Amino acid sequence: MNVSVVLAAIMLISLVIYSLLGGADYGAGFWDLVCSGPRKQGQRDLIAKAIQPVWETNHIWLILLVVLMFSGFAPAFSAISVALAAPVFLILLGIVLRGSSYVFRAYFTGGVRTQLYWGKIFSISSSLTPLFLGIVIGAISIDNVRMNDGISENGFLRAWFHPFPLVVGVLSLSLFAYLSASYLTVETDDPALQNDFRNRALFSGFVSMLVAFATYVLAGNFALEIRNGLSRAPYVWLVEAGAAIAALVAFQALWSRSYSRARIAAAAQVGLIVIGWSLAQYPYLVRPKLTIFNSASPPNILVDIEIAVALGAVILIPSLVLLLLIFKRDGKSISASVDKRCLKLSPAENSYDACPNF
Amino acid sequence: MDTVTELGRQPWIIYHLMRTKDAVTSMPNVTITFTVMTALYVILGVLVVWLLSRHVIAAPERKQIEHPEVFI
Repeated sequence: MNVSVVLAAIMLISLVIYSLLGGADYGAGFWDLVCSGPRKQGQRDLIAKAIQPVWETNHIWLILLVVLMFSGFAPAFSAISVALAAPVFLILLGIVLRGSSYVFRAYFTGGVRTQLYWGKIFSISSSLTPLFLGIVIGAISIDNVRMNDGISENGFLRAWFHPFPLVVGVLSLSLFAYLSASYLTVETDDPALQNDFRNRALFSGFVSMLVAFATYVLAGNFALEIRNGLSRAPYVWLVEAGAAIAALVAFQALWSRSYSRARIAAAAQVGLIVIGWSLAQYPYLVRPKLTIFNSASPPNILVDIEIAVALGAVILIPSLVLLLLIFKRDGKSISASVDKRCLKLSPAENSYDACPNF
Repeated sequence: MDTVTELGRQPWIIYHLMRTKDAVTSMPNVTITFTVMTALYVILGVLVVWLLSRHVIAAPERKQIEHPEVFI
């Protein structure tokens, strides 16, 4: 098998995992922004508790993707970082701001108003970052990113400020919100909170379907290659059918309050959508010129990178499994029966022994 | 010179292969992104020192939660 294809497949795997884990983190930040109703505080607590053990770890998949791209497909990396510098810069800004404000909110125990202020920075930057991630994905799927001798022919705004990338941005935000709401139903056993996030999952799932339809329609005008790519080969149809079945299963499960099943089905749905996009994009990394073949580093470099990834995976995968087993095995970040006072303790306080949960 | 990895190799970004001025992005207004990021990290740095001083350096009794209604 071609080494370029192998490296691209590894990048796809990390993009899928990033969407399923990091994407849900962003979605959780979005729900933090729109918390409402009588259980507003409970919803915030649940979100904060659910992402606490994993919010940093989830971003290693994006780092892996970036590193593999600049070492394996340098011209494509260069095209993205020059022509799409504005959205990439905003992604970076968003990731830095959401992480630091999340931690500052948890460790600043001086007053509610300051915490709410940190919370706003956390939730707004969490909601904007997926928009720009989607914009980058949309921009490399159409023919606007054109590099000539290191100069972006479409400048730094027209390369991405265009209906198709913008709609893909909205699509990724709605999918991440849907994913996150589906996960959050499993993170508590309080039926009222479960119900809040069930309704949100159904609503955002419905919105993401409308936006997906809009994306498909817009692709007919602006991204015909990617739309043709979606109907190119039978295996692409298979992936699309899989995504549709997963969506139906997820909706049915949410409707009937089978939350564990809904979580798996929603994750499968989003994962298959990402895989479907990548198959339609194949063999391009950045349309219209750069493919995984003409932008690849020499084969010996690619082989070395793949060996390094394999060695890294030996350490990374067991550590991640251990992390998730420790923090997510019982599946409940907030239990209905726990003394509510325990939820109000900052991780920096020394009073864990008062709480049965710790 | 060997120990100064960033300054010692100037004006090369990759020693004897590519000069720093040839490696810089063709994107205009790099000063804007540079200034925004520098300012952000200065602010975050100050905040981290301040928060750490509240939690680590402060007297133990001050570490108690100051307002019971704060969350997390």
